[in-house]
Amino acid sequence: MTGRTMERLDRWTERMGDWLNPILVKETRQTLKSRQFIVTFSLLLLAAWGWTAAAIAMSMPRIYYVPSGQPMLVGYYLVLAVPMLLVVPLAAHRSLAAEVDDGTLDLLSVTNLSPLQIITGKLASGGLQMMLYFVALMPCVAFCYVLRGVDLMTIGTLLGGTAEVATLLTVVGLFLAALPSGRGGQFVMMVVMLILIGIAEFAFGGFAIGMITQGGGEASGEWIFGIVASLLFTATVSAILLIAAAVQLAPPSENRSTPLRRALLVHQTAMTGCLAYAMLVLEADWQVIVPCVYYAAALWAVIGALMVGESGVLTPRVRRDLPGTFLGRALAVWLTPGPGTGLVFSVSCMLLFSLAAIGLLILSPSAPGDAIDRTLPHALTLGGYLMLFLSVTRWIMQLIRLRSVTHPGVAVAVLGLVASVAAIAPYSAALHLHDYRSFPWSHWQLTNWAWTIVELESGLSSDVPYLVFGSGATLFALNVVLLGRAVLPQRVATPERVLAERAAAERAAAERAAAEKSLAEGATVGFDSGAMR
Amino acid sequence: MIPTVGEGEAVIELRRVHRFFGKTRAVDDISFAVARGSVFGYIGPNGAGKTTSMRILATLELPSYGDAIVDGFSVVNDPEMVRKRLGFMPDAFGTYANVNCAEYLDFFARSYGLVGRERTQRLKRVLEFTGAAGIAEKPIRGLSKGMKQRICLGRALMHDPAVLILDEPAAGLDPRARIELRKMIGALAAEGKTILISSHILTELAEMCDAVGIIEQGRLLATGSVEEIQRQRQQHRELTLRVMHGAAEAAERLGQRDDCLEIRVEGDWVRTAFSGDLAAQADVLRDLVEAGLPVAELTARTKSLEDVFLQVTEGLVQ
Repeated sequence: MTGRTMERLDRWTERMGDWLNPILVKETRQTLKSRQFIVTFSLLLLAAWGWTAAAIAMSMPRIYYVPSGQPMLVGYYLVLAVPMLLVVPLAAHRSLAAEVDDGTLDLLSVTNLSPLQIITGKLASGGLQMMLYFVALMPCVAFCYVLRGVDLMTIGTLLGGTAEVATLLTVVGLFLAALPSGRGGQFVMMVVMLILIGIAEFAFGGFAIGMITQGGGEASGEWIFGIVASLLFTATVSAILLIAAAVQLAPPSENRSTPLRRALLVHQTAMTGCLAYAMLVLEADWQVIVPCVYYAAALWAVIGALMVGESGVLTPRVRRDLPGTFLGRALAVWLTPGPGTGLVFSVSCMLLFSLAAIGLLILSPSAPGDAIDRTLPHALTLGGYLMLFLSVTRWIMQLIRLRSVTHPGVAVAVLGLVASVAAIAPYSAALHLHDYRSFPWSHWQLTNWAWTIVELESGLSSDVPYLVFGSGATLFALNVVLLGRAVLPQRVATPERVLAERAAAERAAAERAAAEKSLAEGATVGFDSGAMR
Repeated sequence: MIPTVGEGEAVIELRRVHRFFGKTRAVDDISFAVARGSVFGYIGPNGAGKTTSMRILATLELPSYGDAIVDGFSVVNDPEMVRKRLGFMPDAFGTYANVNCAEYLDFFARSYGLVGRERTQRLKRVLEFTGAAGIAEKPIRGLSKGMKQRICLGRALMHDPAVLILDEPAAGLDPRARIELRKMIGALAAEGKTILISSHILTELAEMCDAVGIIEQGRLLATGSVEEIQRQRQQHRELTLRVMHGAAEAAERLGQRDDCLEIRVEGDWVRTAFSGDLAAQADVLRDLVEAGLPVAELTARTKSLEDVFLQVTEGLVQ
């Protein structure tokens, strides 16, 4: 390459670098110089080479005539799993936790970087490290394929799955590091992180080794659906966690709720779509619907609690971005931050999912005639309890907020308390009345959600789900009526100066881009004409 | 009415800012304004609320009540507009491992949205201004405190902000580094930057600042130049005269004036608390000389910022 080509390449990479997330640039510089990366990378290479030599020696002379790729790939997977599922997620977690501990997060917060840029920059840096580890191990994986015994589908699924789990763990690590906590809290988060990593190592390790030894299967519709569904799940859950981590770092005046609600909607839509495809196209077992309803109920209970724990006061900054028209506000009201709208949002999402689940059972060709009768009680009961407990939690949080400013996380604890009291109180009372002997379920145990749900499968009276749903709906309706003006906050105008400043910034960015483009074209012309000469 | 430091348009403005941490009132109803191009010193004992109010201005904390305005933008409603105009130097340095000084500053330049040639030129200018060009390739974690503070100031200046918030920039520096830092701050003030600076080294603040604000237990006790605070607090300069063999008569004549208080005679020396200005001081001298009193010496001692600080504050901490 000529000097001018190098110069042009240098200019091009410099320009590309300007568009990269600054956190990614900084983290990459740090990582490539860090002892941790050098040691991990060296150990990965040494372990891979060592395993190659040892496995070949153990397989001699069978290696010449028996397919030996499988045991070899198991070893390489174990070598790769350590940096991918342990080192990278932990490094990402520590990196963000160190920003909080060392005070550098404050320095980043006063720059133009948004909290989401900080978080995604760290994730991108983790992704880059994963790529380097992959590239280092790629010749070994190719060697496995040459040795026969493993097909490309298995190798692809294994590497893709490892990357997916590693990415999800990295996202979880970043989320945990962003949670507000002191030094003690950071230690607890680190322990939680290590436990999650341990679980992931064992769970995915078992799956991966099983897949290698038994074969990845053919590229059937189910297999591809499984991959797409798991990718969708990982992507949408990652988006939720990344946004949740970013809002932890954002100042309280920001709209911290709407982006999270949008991400949750996308997650629910994606999962409903997957369920619909599985039920209607792949004709999956209809019984998968009930666990999905339970998953939705658990998800919306936790998310709903966090939302009813939000502050009811909308800052002028948030109110500037509200829809301008009454119709717009009415339609988008469930995305507006606030405890009241949060209650409406979470209950609506749960009910919508339940409706979709019942609709799928109606349309599913594989569902038997009594499928709806067996699913509906679960959907009604769970929806009823959700409305009941979230409504009570909202009122308690309103009382707490009268006295002090609290973190939305407190509402999750309140929900747990409400649910515990609702289950334990009637049970304890009945136990006492029955002289501490066993007794059957009765309507006095309606608020005892744990027992009622267990009894649903053993022929509970058919009015119970409707009673629970009716009670929940009554409290929910009362809550909605009492929301009053809170669900329709007025928009406030953005100051002229702010609008002018934004317009000027956009103009400057466009001018800069045009100037750089013309500079690049000039350089290209210069290079070409030079080459022609 | 918000007390304003300097003349012209206010660039920094705190409007009834409160910040509570539980029952602790870290900042309790603070209001003041600083005009463009002024250097405002913020002094107070540890735990007085200086850092909290500076963090509110830097958009790192939200006020529990009230608002802070930087160049016309609210820290509550338009923090991103404030950040574009503001350079913040906290008391903690905040370093990264495996990064050299140039890379560190380059990272912050990127974070402030500087690209291409603009970024490289700005980086060069900042390294030259802070005198850190010679250490650009040195790892940041091995630097001395003085050098770190230069890099830290460079970081705050990277996007050429109109307002600088400097929290204890001189803490822990040796005398030479302190003098150099003072020169840099002087140069920045001469460029027209508005600077809010906190320090425990009061003599330095007195030299650097157009005005000071004294804060204790979250409350702003006094604002203005040292002289203004003295006047606000009715604090007087001490006038000492040496009148050869006529001290008693001089004391009698001084006693007839309204601006001379607490007159004491010690031999040939007459001491008095004097509330007048320089013209009045000249008038005192002329009176005595015209009365034929042999005034051999006249000295006036203005109270230092330290004296004012000690008199204004009560040494209370939260």
